[in-house]
Amino acid sequence: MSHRNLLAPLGLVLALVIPATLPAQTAVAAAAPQVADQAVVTGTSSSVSAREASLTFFLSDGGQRVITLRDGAVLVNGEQIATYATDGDVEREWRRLVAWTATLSPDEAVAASRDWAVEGSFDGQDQAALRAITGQFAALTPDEVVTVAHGPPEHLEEALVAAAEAREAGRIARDEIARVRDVIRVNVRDRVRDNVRIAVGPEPHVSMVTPFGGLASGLLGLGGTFAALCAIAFGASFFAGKQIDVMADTVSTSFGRSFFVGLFAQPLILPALVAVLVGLTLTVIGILLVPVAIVAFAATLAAAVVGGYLAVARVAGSGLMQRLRGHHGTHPLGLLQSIAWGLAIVLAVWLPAILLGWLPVAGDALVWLAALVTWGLATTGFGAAVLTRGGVRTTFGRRFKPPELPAATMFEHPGPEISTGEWLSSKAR
Amino acid sequence: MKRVFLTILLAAMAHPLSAQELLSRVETRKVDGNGLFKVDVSFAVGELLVRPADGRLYRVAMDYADVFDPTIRFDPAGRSLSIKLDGEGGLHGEDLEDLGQRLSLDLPRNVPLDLTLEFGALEADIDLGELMLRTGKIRAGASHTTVSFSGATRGVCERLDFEVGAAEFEALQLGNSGCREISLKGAVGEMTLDFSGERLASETRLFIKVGLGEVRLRIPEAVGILLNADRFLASVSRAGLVKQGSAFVSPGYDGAKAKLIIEVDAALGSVEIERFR
Repeated sequence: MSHRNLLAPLGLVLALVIPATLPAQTAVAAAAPQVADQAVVTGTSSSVSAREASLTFFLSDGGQRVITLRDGAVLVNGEQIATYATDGDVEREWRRLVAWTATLSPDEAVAASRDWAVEGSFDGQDQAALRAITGQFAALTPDEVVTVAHGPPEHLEEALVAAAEAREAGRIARDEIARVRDVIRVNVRDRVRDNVRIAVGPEPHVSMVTPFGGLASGLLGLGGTFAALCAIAFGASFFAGKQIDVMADTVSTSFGRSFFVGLFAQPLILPALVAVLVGLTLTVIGILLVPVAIVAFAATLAAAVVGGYLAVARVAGSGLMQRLRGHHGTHPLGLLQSIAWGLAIVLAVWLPAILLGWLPVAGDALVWLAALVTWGLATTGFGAAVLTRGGVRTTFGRRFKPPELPAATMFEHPGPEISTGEWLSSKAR
Repeated sequence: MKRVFLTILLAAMAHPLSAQELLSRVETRKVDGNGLFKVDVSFAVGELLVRPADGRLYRVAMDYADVFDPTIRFDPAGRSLSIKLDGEGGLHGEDLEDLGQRLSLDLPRNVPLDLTLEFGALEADIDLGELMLRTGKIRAGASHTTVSFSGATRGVCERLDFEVGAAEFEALQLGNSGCREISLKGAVGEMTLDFSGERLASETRLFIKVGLGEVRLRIPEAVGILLNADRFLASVSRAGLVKQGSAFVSPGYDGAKAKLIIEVDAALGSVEIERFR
């Protein structure tokens, strides 16, 4: 055996044993890589988080090679091929490479990866990890051969360091913001808790009172409500007088139907609103119209309830005027006058509750009774508004007959059935 | 009942807000061939930047909160790119504003594009100059959005659509877009369309449909204007236009090299025309 033949096995043994036993001061990129199949790279992807840093090469055959360093493991397409010491030089240099390639074109990223040279002290585990990674790089081919500097340029490196520091500062700031918010929330919660404890500590005497408070304030409140409703009626008589008449016709001729329609419509109010909002949220622009839709819905609902209530008052008032004067009111202010009389009647149900509300049991009962009657009348008016589509549809109010027409004339010439609105219009003409 | 309500309220407030970690992802790929390339971006919240890239590369860089799960789908055969970072990830209001999310998209300069951008809140700065834009559709929610054409586009731009919610919206240097049809649908907010630039088509049709918003049109004096307005309670300024039949035209309209035909459908907003040299 020649001298050269004796040295060859010895060199092989040393090459296998020394790297595994002693830390080496070396540039590992030159070490013999574990070469995978060659593939042309058409794209790259870099992703970084606190836990992992990943570099993906998209290949011309539709495949991809994903190299990830996570929690001490080197993964290629999800399979572990080596391990490394966490928070060491390998991880630091890998993150630097990933950040750098993110600024490069795919061809440049391949060149930079293939030229990757890591300097430092590495034990056998880290050396094996570096060899495994560079082996993956060696299998990559750029679409076009380009040259790239060894490592990121100085200004880029500074930028990378600054970006890392800024990110860390941002993370600390966000943590601090979250901490301060939590402190504020805890304080607010404690204060609310204390207030609740103070409020509920001494058990208050629970007594039913009228919605209008004491006698004087109750009467003032009732008078104010009457004035406010009269003001609304005044405006409505100009702009929606016919609609109120149609609803009044419906109340007078289909009272029970109106009540039950109003009763069954009430539970549907919220689902209807929800349906409208869901429909709007299907589009970006629709979402922006949600506040407008809510306001419009509330306004429509309020108009239906108040209009219906005025229609009920109109029926009550016209009945009273018929009894007192023998007619419903033939002059132009007849509608308003009859509504005012009607409001006086329907609001009068609160008078006993206000005057006798101080009584221990009877007072509560009177308040409940007044509330129940008011709710019933409002429900009936609301039902009439629904039935007539806000006073537009006259189907349920056709049977109204003007009561002041002479009975004999009606008997001889029945004539068409008309609504109060039509009748008032003809009178005005 | 009051106690039950307060208990529910306190339970809701006691839910701790954990700080979100920002993750980074960058993808750079080549777009081969000469066919049309479709790009579809859906970005819920954060800062959006769009720029032209070199050659046939596209580059997507995003910083996103770990509660989101973004997708980037590139289909080389189907010639399409889909980027989605949407959903609220269980976050609301101020938490969303604090996220610091960012999507930066560089589009290939030398590839014909059909571009759809849809985004929700915060800021967007979109430069479509020098691209080969064929169609563009930009839907902005509640945001401050600037779309610009810093350089003249190449190829034929058939259509450019803007749909704007409650936003401050600016489209600048539209005269560089070369688009034959431009439409703006706006709900509320301030919207500006600036038609400066060197590549305004010989005849450009502009459709404006606005609800409550204010639209400001900045149009060079050299451009002829024909205005048709269908309005309810909206105001439309005419800026020296002369009534001709049911429309309004600028003096010298017939001889203008570049003409802008404007159709306005406005409900309660306003449309203001400003001329400049």
